[in-house]
Amino acid sequence: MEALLGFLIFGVTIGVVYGIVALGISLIYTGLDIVHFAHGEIYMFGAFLGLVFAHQYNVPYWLAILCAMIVTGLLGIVIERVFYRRLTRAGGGYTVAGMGMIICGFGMSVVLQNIAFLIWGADAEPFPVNFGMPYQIGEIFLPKSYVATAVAALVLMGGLHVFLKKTKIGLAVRAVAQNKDIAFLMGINVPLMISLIFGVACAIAAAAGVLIGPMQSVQVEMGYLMLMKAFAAAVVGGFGSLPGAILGGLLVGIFENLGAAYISGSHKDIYAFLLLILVLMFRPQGLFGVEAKVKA
Amino acid sequence: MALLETRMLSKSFGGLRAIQQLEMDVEEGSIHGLIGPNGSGKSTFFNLVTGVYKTDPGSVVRFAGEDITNFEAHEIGRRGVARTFQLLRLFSEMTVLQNLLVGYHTHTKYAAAAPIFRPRSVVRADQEASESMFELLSIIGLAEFADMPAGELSGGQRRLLSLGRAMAMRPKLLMLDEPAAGLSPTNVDVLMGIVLDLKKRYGLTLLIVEHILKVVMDTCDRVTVLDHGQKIGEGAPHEVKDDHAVVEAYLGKEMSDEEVRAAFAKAAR
Repeated sequence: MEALLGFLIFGVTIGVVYGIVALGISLIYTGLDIVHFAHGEIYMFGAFLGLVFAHQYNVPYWLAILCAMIVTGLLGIVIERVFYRRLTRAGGGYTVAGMGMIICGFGMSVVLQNIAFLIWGADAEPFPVNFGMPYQIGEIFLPKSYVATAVAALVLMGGLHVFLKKTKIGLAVRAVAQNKDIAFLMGINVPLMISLIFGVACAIAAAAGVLIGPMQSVQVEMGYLMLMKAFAAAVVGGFGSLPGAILGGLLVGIFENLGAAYISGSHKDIYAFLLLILVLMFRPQGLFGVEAKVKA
Repeated sequence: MALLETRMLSKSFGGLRAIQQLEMDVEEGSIHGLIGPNGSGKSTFFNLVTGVYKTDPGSVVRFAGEDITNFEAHEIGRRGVARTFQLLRLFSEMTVLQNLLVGYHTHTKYAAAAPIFRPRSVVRADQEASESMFELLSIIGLAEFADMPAGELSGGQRRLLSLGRAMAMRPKLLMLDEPAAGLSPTNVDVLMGIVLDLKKRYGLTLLIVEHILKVVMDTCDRVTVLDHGQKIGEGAPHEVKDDHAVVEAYLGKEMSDEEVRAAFAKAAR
């Protein structure tokens, strides 16, 4: 029973991290109509930057998260402005240019991975953070890092929700997501909003990277598996749905840890994709997804 | 004084010259009609003025005395040019009120993070926003639907909302793209009544593209007729109606039977 609870707690913690990466992928998808395949590498960059801030500049952990978010967000905006913009100008995800955009994303992922390799090398870097003794509830130990991760993820989701639903810029972002041409004519600076969407999505991926760093370690190739899991989470929840991304992340996290607990721990990564296949077979639009996104 | 002026306005798509050296003045406070057969360049003209298309070299578009040629669409929108669409194209997943606020908020000035902390200035600005939006909603008769998703409105209500959304930008020039298409004659009268009411209240200048000639003849002060991207006639409605070139463009000999039938069907609707 304790072991099961332990797996569940870890599943939820890793699940919210999947969820916030998926949130970024979904945000970019709704805003730009593209699937961003370099998002795993953005997450990896965020993790490394967090490590640099925490250990080389000795800033407190929570501040390192914030710094990594800002720097990675700016990096994302630069990438979008310099590389992706030319392609998105020519049309979104449903056009030939959208296909080029996907390939450009793959290329960007290779480029970013190699840049990280040149800067930080191929070794896995430990990211020790002293959270103190775990909470103890009866027989269950609840590491403080898990709690910190869950709280940070909740703050991010809440912040994003308030930003999108309560602010006028959030309203503008939603208008851009629904129809860029009309938003443009309504006096909204669409290119600026797209940069903003991209920056925010990259910043929250960076937060995920810094949050997961202390639990695993930071490594150049960490982005690939995260992208796959976050992608699965986004599809399970319904592509383009922000609450769906979070729920999908939780489901993927719990599902793979229950699989590890009851079936076999050595095939842990299979379960996420098993869930993905099941969802695609029986509810292809995802749990929160719309049937198909039709553009006017 | 002319609010909107175009000089040598041209636009080609490959070999097709959609607009050719068009010179047009829309007087401030007037209701200006733009008519012409299908493919005569009316929509292209709208898209050039609102910044959706870039003009060919040598073209000049001036709005309120300022040269706005090839400005980005959002910059033109902020200067006070708003338009509606024949296919409405509302933000159907947003509520009626939010559809209006998208346009309105381009004018409110406060820092991006301010709404989260809500200082008094923001509370006041938001209050003003919803008050002036409710005023607009009650003029177009949608006040009771403010919180309903736009996608759930009826066809006629959506058309009113598209008008309201354009008005929320507080434009000086309102461009209406076939506002009456597909409406029953009674509803056309209701809609045009609202449009005229808005014009009087907010001191608008109107530019209307319309196939229903009755609407154009009844409401416009001045009419410009386009054919193949060129101006073939301009003047008061009754002058244009008797203009030989205009009649020929609509019902001329060179039209195929099918086009004539379509033109008759449109005029008779």
